[in-house]
Amino acid sequence: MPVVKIFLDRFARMVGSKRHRIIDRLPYLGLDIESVDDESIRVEYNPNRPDFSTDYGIARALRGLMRLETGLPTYSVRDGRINVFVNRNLAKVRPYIACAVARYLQLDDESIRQIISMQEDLHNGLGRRRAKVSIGLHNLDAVVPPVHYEGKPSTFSFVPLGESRVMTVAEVLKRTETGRAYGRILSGAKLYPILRDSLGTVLSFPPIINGTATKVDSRTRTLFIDVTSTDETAGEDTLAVLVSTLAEAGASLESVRIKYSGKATVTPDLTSRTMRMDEDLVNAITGLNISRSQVKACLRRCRIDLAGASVVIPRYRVDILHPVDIAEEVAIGYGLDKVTPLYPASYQPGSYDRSLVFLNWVSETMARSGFIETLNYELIDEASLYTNFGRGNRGKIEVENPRSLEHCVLRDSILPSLMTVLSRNIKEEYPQMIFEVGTVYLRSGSRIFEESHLGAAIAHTSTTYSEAKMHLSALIREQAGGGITTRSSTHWAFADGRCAEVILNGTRMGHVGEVKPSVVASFGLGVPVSAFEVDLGKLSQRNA
Amino acid sequence: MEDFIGLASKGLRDDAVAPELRRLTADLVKRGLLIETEEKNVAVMITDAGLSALKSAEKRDFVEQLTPEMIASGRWKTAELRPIDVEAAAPAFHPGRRHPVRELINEVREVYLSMGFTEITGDSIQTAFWNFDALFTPQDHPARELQDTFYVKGGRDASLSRRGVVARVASAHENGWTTGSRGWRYSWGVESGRRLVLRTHNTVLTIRATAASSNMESRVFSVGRVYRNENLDYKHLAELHQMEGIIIGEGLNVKHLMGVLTKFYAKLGMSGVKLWPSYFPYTEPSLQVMTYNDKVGKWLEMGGSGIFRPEVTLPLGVKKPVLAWGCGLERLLMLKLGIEDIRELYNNDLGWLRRGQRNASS
Repeated sequence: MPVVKIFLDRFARMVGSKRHRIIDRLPYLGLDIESVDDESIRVEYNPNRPDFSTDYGIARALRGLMRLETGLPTYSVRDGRINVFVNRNLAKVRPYIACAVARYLQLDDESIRQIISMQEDLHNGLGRRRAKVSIGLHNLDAVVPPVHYEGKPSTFSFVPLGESRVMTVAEVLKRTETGRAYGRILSGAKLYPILRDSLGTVLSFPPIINGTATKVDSRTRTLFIDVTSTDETAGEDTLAVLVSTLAEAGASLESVRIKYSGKATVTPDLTSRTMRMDEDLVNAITGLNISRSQVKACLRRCRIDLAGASVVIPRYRVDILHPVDIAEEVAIGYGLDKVTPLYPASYQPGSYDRSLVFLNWVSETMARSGFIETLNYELIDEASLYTNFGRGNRGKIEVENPRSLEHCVLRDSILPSLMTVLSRNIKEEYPQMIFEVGTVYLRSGSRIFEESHLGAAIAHTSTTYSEAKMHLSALIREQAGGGITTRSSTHWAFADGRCAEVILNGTRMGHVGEVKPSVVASFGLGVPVSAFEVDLGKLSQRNA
Repeated sequence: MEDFIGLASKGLRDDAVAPELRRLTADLVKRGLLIETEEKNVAVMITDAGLSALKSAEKRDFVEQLTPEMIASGRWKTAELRPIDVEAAAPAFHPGRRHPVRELINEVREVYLSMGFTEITGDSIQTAFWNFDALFTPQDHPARELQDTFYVKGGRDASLSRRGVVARVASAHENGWTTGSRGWRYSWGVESGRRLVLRTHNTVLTIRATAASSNMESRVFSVGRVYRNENLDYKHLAELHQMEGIIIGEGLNVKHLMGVLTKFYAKLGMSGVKLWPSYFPYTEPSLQVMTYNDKVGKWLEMGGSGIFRPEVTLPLGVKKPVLAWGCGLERLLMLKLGIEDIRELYNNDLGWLRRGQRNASS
């Protein structure tokens, strides 16, 4: 989850309350306090609330919850005269743009830091790591309108931000850090999005990098903001969150006219959205049974309002999709700490899953026989699964992009896990008797299926095939009454001549044997190992 | 071969052994096929005091051990068991044990059972449709990316098609279907739902149970393994356990959710439960569960909870409210056992397992 760093003095001034009261109430907005020190706190916010990406946005919400300032915040947007012309040659690349102008900014270093961090969070969240939406902030004084948003070939060149020379689009993608990080968003494109002014000055190459000519610094008083996107609503949502925060920071907003071929829009549009008030639903979900005026008071504390039969939602609240979201706002405005829990009694008896009861019985029986239960990862490495057993990797089931090569293949047997446990415990006293009841994954054609297996291993200086068979027979005698038969067989884990297939009433259910000396050596063990592995699905069928 | 054994028994350090045989023997020792031993010959002499003690002992019929022959012959009548040092250490014995994670799983299962819940289980490999789409998680949601979720290489369920439940879920994503929601407003694709994932939560099991409930009232739980594409460190694992539960019932609301969670955690030994607002794509309201821990003396995050959104339940044909929650099991166990590094739970250190790390509550 994204994190905002908040300086407490500045924040207490913004909210208009005391530090400790603020820290106490933050969790009731849905914010997690990650750490606190003398001067600052770090809070985590949920990605559905991009309006919490700065201290401005959090203060706005907190003033509501603490009843210092309730109801809808309103921001005026003056009609601006700047036009942005959108070329239709971007239709298949990144077709949409929404812009705004923010004037009379007086930003100190901390305010700038907050806004940059918000831009980053918006890129990652609503912007889906810039693939869907990206933002450019520019010094309007360096721009000569009108502005053009159009597709250019990879040979088009300009001076990107942070570089001292002219580079082509192709070079930017290859040589700059952001080019390498985000270039794949544009892979396959023949034309690249470029935002330039009437003199040809490049503002940005979305979603990769800005131009250096319109760079923002601490002296910038007027911002030109561009938000390009592959989804018009997502772009407008992002712009609304951004500019309403700038307005909180003291900016006055001005609109920009966007001219597509065939249509025109004016952005930003900060008109509140409305939703039908469903009081029955609110009371059904919250269980609060409160009156309409109480509902209204609760909503106003969440900076939402009620007008007649309509809920009025500020434009920056992009998370509200359905009347149930309003119910949650009512609960938050009411204060979850004031809600009384009520246990709904059950008149039905509970019950366990039969297959899990059986697996648990097997584990109990093994533990009673003196085995220690181990619990291993199902995703393991190729060496423990295949190489150490000298077997091929036919039927291998892998996961995509594993972060660790230690955990990349789904095991098809418990024995490799048990051998790994033994190899990690060579300093522990022998005899060692271990088992695991767990899931293994097998491939049959294109289908993958899961089985519950029992694997057990015995390691000490004189363990033999018959010791392993003794324990297996004991388990099966307890379960099925009758005994197993063992028939000479071969298996990748067991030595030839010391390996048998386990058969119960004609059903083959696994193998028992002495582990191959080569395998014992590969796992670095100093003592022999006898072991068995059986499919518990086949054994539980005998349960009936 | 016998020559060789003879040589080996003479010892590796004997200079009379030919160098090539020394090398061969050393190699066999390295492979664990021969064991190197050392012999020590010690000569002892009995002292005068010992001699007189022996003489007095000779008058008595000492034996080391009672044998079947002695019992049969009646010699036991005259024989006497030689006294031994009863204070000497006995060989260590390690009884079999269950794994601490499994013991806690069983404790949690008991708690659920006592509250009238029915246990369910299911496959670890699921379609992305059930793991994500059915839970109203949009297809471009960060949680669905390869960085966070294990996708099975080449895994695909081609039988999934945009019909029935799948079609209704797809519409809920695109425009809210008939649920009254705005939806996520994008074009839903079946291919992304067909991909196979290792389940990222057991809510995939409870949601399938919800879908199969035919709108009947029920209480269902599942405790099982979930998978996350994480680098392992002291607080992250790629495979861990979660305990999810749902209650489907007419008239259930946030107060009931709080009531159930308070009772559930009280039975697990947590004295207080506090709920804070949170967010999950599939619940509204979404509440984070905080429980008070006496040991560390503060409120700790225990899990997530909420009421399934209409965009989740209505496409499955469920019209009653569904309370849902989930909680990691390892976190709870670490608190109980006083462990700081989550990886310790799965090191399978036999010393640790043998010492029998009991749940603190038992």
